Amino acid sequence: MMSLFTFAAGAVNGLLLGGLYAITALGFSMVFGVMRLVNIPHGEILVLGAFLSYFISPALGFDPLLTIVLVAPILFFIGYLIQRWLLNPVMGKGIEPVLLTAFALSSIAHSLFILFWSVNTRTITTRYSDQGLKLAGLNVALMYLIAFCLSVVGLLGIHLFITRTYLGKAIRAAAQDPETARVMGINVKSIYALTYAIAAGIAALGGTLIGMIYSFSPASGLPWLLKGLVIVVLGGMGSIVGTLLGGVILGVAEELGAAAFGIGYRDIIGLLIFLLVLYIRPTGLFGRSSA
Amino acid sequence: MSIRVRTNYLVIAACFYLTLSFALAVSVECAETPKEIKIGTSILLTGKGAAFGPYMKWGYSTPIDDINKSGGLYLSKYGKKLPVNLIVYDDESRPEKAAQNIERLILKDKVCALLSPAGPPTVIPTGIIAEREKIPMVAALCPIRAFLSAGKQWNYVWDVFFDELEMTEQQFLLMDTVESNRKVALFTNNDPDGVVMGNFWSKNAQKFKYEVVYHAKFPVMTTEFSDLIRRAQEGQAEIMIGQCYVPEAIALWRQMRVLGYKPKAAFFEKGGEPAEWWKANGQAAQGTCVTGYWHPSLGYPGAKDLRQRFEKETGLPYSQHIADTYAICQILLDAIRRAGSLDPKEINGAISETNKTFVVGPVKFKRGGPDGNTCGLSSVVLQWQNGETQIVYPKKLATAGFICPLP
Amino acid sequence: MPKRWMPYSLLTFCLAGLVILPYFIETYTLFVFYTLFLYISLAQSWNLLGGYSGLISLGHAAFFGLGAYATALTAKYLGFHFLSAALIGGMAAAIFSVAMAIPTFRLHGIYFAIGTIVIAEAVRLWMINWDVAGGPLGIHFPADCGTSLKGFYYVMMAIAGLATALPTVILKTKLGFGLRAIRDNEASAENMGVNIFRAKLSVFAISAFVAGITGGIHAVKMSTIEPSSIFEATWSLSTINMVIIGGIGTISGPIFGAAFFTCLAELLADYYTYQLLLTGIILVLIMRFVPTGIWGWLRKTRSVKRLGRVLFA
Repeated sequence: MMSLFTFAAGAVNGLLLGGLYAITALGFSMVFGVMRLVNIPHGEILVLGAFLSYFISPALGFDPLLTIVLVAPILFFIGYLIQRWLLNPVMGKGIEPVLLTAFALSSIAHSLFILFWSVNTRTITTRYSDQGLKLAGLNVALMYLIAFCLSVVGLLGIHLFITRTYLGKAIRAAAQDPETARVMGINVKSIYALTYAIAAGIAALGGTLIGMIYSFSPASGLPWLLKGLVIVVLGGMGSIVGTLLGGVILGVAEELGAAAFGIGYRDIIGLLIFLLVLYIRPTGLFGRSSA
Repeated sequence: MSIRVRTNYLVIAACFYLTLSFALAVSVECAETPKEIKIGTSILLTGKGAAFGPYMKWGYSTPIDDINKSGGLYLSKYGKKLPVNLIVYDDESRPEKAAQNIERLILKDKVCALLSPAGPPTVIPTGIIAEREKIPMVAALCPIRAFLSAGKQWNYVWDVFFDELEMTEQQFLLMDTVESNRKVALFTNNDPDGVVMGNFWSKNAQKFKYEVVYHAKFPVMTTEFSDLIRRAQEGQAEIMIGQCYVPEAIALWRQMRVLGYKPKAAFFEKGGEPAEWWKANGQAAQGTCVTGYWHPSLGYPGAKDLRQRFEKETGLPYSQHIADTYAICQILLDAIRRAGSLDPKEINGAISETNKTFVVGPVKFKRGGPDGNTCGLSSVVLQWQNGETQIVYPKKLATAGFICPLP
Repeated sequence: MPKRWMPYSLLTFCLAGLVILPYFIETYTLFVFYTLFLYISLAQSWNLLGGYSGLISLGHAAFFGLGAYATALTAKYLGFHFLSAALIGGMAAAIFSVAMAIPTFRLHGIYFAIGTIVIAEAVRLWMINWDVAGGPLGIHFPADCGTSLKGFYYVMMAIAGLATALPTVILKTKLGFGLRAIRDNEASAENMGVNIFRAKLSVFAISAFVAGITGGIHAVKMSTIEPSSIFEATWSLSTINMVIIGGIGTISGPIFGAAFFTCLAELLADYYTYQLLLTGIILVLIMRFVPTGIWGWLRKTRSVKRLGRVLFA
């Protein structure tokens, strides 16, 4: 049985990690919401962000959090190309081509990572990686707090972008009704490419944080993709608040579940939640909630 | 007959012959008189065990390079010296890859003997394949009890390493020499080493009258230890003993510091052994312990020089594993020379008769019985002090004093 | 019509060739063919789902691995002969597929595919933690279980044969027509009176069974299995690659894909990662330019048609 201390610690950590989970899932949620595309390489894009920060940060002598400013445009550019050249052409040709192309892309990325950087696991360390604070009697890692704050900032930023800017409105239009949007003069294919690019850019933040808090390797993509899936299922798409909520629910469930059943079951919990929710509400769950 | 069915069969036939000709083209023709002695191995050059890769590579290749400089190994059956060719594949620290590599070495490259990969998860499956194909394999970096836990009588695979039965007593024997609250927290991962050692530590704790307040068991490559650490803290264990890989150990130690859990003594088996451990932690690793089976200060033939030579040739700080791998290779070469031929069965017979002192100590294999095909090395306890490992137990071999509690 | 027997004799000739082959080639080539048969079995079993029923499963490794595990458990703890153990492995995989059907059949298209990935990953994580099945250590087979490489060659050849024969037979039955109707348009299929759930369930179980026994035999050959390797996503990916590259929805497509893949694997044996990379790139290119696969493209090419007519007309 769990002591109150363990429960509280688990809940707090889950909450903080939930912010991180949310920002990593945000890109995935956006792509699915706008283009109904299950972005299977999403995990690999996160890992790419981690790798880039891992190498660029010491090379330039910057703090990894600062290098996000450099990594984000790189990922943005790569994401744009992926959607424009590889995914756009096969969209609309049926389910299989898009799905399998995405699946293949994820595998290609994985192989490229191994070729460039070997299968070794890495982690991004800084002076403050080890520091903890005392929060109401509980020991909390400073990095978790930083991750939570940055994630919330990121979520807010995207929310403002989607609701306040012209581009954001164009994206929402294309998402709700591509045909009408096209008629209104919006180049839907370009919007798709842009959305994917933005999602990839956000992944720079998520990926770097992952690299700083956890370790990562070329094979780390799939687990993060699955977390993104769970969060989208829990929180719905198109809703920033929903994504944050989904992230927090997953984070807390994982922490408490790990404390209760054993640390090995940590990752299964998310998947079991996913299947449970799917079983209870198989249709409507992937429907849009009001943005 | 429709076109579709016709072309169906055409393509099937074409595929069959295509694959056939391909496979035949790719197969190697054997020469009548052998031109070289082929030995194969699969090493963890990348992956979670990559920290140990350089030691294995150097340890396995150096005796062979040396012997090739003098023209090769003399085989009485052919009346001449033949050069030794060591074929090395990377197994990424993954058992399935290692098994594939070993199968390829045996079937395609046609090696006459094998040097093992590292660690029970890879040694056991590859050992089983070597047994099936009757190719002798000498194993390094594989603790004896885990090796024997495969549950079969080994005939073609030989192991020289420490015996966990003895190794898991060292921590308690050392702690008996200092004051503590005799409460222990165990952190073991769930690969064969972790499971075997975890069991032995639990038993030995009772035997030496220590109390295990918490035993954390986690899957390999876990990255989040906070919850486990908190429980160890709750149990107020002053002694922490763990077994895991280097990345896990680094993460665990780091998180322990974040959460403010500082035991009096910390043992990091496997993870705390290579130079990588000190490099990643810096001064934070001062005082951490790991058991060892070799140290340059032990008086075996060539021991001290081995360290100098390794550090000079590779520019890397040494590790005790250069000795085990170097010795394994020596043992194999010695056996091939004594067998005088490339016949795997004869080589295997020669290995079984090994009785000589190598750089890692005296080696003679136990024959038959539950401990068959193994040779255990005695353990000492090493402690990281200022970037180097010093022997701190037993006292008569110690090169430095035991720092306790942790600074 | 003297030439009518030609295709059949060609086929028989091939089969006879395969049967006597082991006595003429050396061990490594035997191993290559064993791998070819393994791939053919997996490819055909996936093709049943993805090609003929429109069920794109991205988690096929789960059936493969569960079959391997069930085989290992029965061989080790119940002392079964490896062939019977493999049959049980296949049945275990089939039973699991039936259980899996409950949550996933409610989903369609992309969502079904995602469901399969999630379940495959959940199975992998579960087996890593389940001590009854050996946990992360996996299971070692008893030393006397199994047979020589030649024996494995024949067994896997038989399984490949079964895997190829099954779709051929099923297509001609009511189930086969029902599946193709479902693939083309599920709603109209239902209108036509096809029992969708039962059809999907049957094909799922059959496909899982084949993948299961393949996994079982492969496990016996490897002598030891463990969760991190046998459930690796690479198995799922490679299987799909083979079918797509070869030509989805045909009988000989998967065979072609398996042969292609085996040759590629041999060519790039020293460069495993390049092999993965190349298969991914090829898949992307095929999806973009030749969605019917190389076999589908070949069939339409005039020169091949002409050749076929010349040989068999």
